[in-house]
Amino acid sequence: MFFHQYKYRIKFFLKMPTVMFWALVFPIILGTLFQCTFGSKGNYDTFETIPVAIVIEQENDTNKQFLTMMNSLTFENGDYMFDVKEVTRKDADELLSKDDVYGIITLSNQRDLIVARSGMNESIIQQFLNQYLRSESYITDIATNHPEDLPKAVANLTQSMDLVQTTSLAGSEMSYNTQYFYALIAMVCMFGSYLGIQNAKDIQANLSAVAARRCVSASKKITLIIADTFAALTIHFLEIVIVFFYLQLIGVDLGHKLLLFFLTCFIGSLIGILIGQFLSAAIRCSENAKDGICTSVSLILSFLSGLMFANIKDIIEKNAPIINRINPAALITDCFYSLSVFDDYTRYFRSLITLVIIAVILLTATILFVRRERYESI
Amino acid sequence: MVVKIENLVKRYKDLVALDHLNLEIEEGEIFGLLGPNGSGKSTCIGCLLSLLKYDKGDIKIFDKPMNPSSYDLKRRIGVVLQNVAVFNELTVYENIDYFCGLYVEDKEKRKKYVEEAIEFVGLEDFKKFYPKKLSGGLLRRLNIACGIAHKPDLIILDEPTVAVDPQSRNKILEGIVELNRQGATIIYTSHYMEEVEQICTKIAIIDKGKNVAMGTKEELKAMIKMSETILIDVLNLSRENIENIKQLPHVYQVTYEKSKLKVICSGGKHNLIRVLDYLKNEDIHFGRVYSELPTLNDVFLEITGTELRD
Repeated sequence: MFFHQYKYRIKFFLKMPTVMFWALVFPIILGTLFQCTFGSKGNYDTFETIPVAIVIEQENDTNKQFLTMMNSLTFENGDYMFDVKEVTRKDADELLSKDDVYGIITLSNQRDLIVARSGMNESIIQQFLNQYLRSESYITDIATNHPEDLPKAVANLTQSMDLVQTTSLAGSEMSYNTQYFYALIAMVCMFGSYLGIQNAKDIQANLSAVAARRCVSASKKITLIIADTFAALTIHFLEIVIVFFYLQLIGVDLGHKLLLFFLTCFIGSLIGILIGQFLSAAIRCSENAKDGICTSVSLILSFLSGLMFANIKDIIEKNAPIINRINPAALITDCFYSLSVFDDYTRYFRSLITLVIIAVILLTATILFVRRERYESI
Repeated sequence: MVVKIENLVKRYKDLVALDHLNLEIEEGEIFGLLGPNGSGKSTCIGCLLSLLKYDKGDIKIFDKPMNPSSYDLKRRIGVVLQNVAVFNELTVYENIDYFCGLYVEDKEKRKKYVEEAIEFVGLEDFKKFYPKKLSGGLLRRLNIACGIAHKPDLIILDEPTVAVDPQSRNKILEGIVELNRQGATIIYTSHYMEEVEQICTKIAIIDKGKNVAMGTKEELKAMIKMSETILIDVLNLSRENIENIKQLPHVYQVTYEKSKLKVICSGGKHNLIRVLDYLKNEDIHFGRVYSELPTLNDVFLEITGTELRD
């Protein structure tokens, strides 16, 4: 019964022009326009030297070593990674407020980082600091407990810092404009809501005659819901894959960790579909109004994730960070961004797990609405 | 008993859509639910199929309580709803196969059933057509095929002939009788009394959510006073003549307007001959003569005081 339902639902979706347009044709057109506007390879930047303010609150050897390390780090092309400005705390605050530096590192008996917003350069500073602190702790521990292994540990540390230079940071050619394409893929995920609307319409007897016929059939409603959702997910995920390969074809570099990239797309697609199912089930209005609401919701979420204005995420992060934490489109772009920039997967999995939690909440809410079996009126 | 509905009450806020409705449908019947629009027929079907919540009452199908998860019962029921319920994105064949597949898992069996359903409704030449390319009548036939392909024991048809051309209507009605002949019990709702009269073996007249009368068409007609209406074109008729006609056996109402004599009789035989004999004996010349037997509309009119087609 499940595969029969699944097969016909796939056939059904393949012939729905709305589904094909919004989740496939529209993003391909938009992606092409983006690429025409931003240009291809020539316009892609490698990382630039990042200005950082250093406030020395306590002078000691450790802090001097830290400064030396910061001053010596370079990108693959030989450019210095950090432009270190030693200033007072007051001057540092002023530089940060004027966006002349991306962060302030205070050096006392510990090292603290202050940033004004969340962005790529801020993330690089934070990654560097975290790795340095981990290495420092590692060396101290070895020196205290196994001094005989110290030379080996220092060698390891040097290798580790090399890794920071060549792989984690300099190895990535993340364009500023790539964020638009990430937001575009996130928008395609959100457009899964159109398939979700259709699923909800075809399973609630009070919404369509076809749904009424399906509800009185010998198929269990939960089987129909799951088969419909899987069929929508199959079609929509394939559309995203097509959009992805099309973008690759026209020269857009979306990263190389394809497995995790597509995992994000898969979860994102599921969320898009569930948003549509949830909104359609929860809101009582005409079919056209539901389409309108879903389009608006998808576009607003995509806008807030940087589709039309790449810095919007930073502005939100500064003023209302909770929106970035719960906006699925922003979380999807954050996953892509994390995959491109960091070797460490902590941030990626944090965003991905949040997406999974949102998916579970939406799925539960949708089933509660859609699974209703008797209606007041039809 | 195929269907037993007891004291069914359904309210839409302040409106009582079904008011202690009782129905009993035996195996092999073509059971007609007759009533004007808004009388509660479709609501009754909605409750019967567990699509609608109801306030009170018991519904049993094949002697088992019917509820939304009665999948064993649903497997034996075929439904043709008032609105055409097919996917515009699937062809005629695919639609029938899809809906049949919600009941029948065996592929070979399903293929056979689908072919039979297509043949039954006469859509052999339209298998690969999409619903949008079909005329209203063909679309209704497809709607029926989707509801009956799995060979159910009980078929519920809710106004299946609305907006259908006469040719398709006849085809549909003949089909329903054939399904019944093949063993299915039919519930047929309509506000077209001629259709109900033509095919139903038992009829319930529904008005304002109540079952106001139930029986065969003969039993229903026997319930009312009027049994025959005689209309005769007469040029001159005196008041005395009219009074005399009123005195004839079984005559209970006589009117004479615009040279038309209307005599309504209740029961009895040879009423027309008696009236014509009287006119002949009185040497009253008359023209065209009509005799009408009561219709279900007359039954409805006499029981409810309103026309069925109101």
